[in-house]
Amino acid sequence: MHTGQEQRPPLSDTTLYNNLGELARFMDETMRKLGELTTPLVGSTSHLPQASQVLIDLVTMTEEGTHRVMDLTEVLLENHKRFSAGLNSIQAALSESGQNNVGVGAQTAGLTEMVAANQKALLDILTTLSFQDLVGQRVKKVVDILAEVQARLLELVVHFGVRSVSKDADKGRAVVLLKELEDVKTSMKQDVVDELLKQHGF
Amino acid sequence: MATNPEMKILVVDDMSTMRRIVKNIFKQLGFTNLEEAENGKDALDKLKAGKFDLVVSDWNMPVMPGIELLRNIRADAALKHIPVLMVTAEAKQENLVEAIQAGVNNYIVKPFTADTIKEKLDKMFA
Repeated sequence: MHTGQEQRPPLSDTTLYNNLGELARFMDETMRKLGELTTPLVGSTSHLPQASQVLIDLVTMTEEGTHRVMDLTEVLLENHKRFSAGLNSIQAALSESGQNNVGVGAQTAGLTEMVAANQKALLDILTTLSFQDLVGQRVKKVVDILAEVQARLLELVVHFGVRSVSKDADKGRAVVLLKELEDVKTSMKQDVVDELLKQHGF
Repeated sequence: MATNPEMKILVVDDMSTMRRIVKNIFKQLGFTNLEEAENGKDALDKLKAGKFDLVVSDWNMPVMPGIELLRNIRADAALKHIPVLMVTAEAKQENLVEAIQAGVNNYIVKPFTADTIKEKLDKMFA
């Protein structure tokens, strides 16, 4: 029967034996190399939880530091509120006394303005501290990525690394999280958000 | 409807620093009746337990994210009238559109200023 395929001449027993021997040596060598690969892979993988913990500790440290700055800023805000009330009382007392002390009046008005400016600056300090939340969110994403990478490396170790990373890996959580981190760079600013809100009737 | 300094506001964010920042801004704007929740579920429990006039919520939170909280609020006959202001780092166009479709009243991108919050409140309660 003509199959359309070229017929190969039958292998002799010696050739078959030699080919099988070569295949066995290749498999043995491959297994040995994979065995060597497993040790550093396991070593690297075991460091990942430690690295994640360091990152989590950093977030905690920045959180504690931020709260401390807030404690102090709140004290200053409260003091400024009292300054403001005190200055108002002085101005009211000056008016009631009927004394036309223009110099003192101008000074208290200047101080009132200064206190108001300080209050605004203190509030700006508080809002600027929101960097801690933004940093925390990004670090959490990195920690999630590390956990995913660790899981995949362990999977490779368990399966002895023979499989290459499949196409499905592209859809893995680590890839999604990395994309989210990249997306942060292209996030909309408030003015763009406002423009879109306007287009939606807000 | 003008802003009432007595109105009860629920600040929802998983980060304690962020809750404190938002609460401080509201205090400086004259609002004193402020409560906080750590995530959407915690917020929903508090909303069902007491009367609130405004919810200021983050998006990205564990247990229940802000968008799910918003959907739950809008799906609850007793809560659906409460204005919701989203304050979030999720600043992609699809996030904003999703929030609008879910019934958000306004949207602020982190980092923000006290002026932005004031401007949005004035718009929401004009």
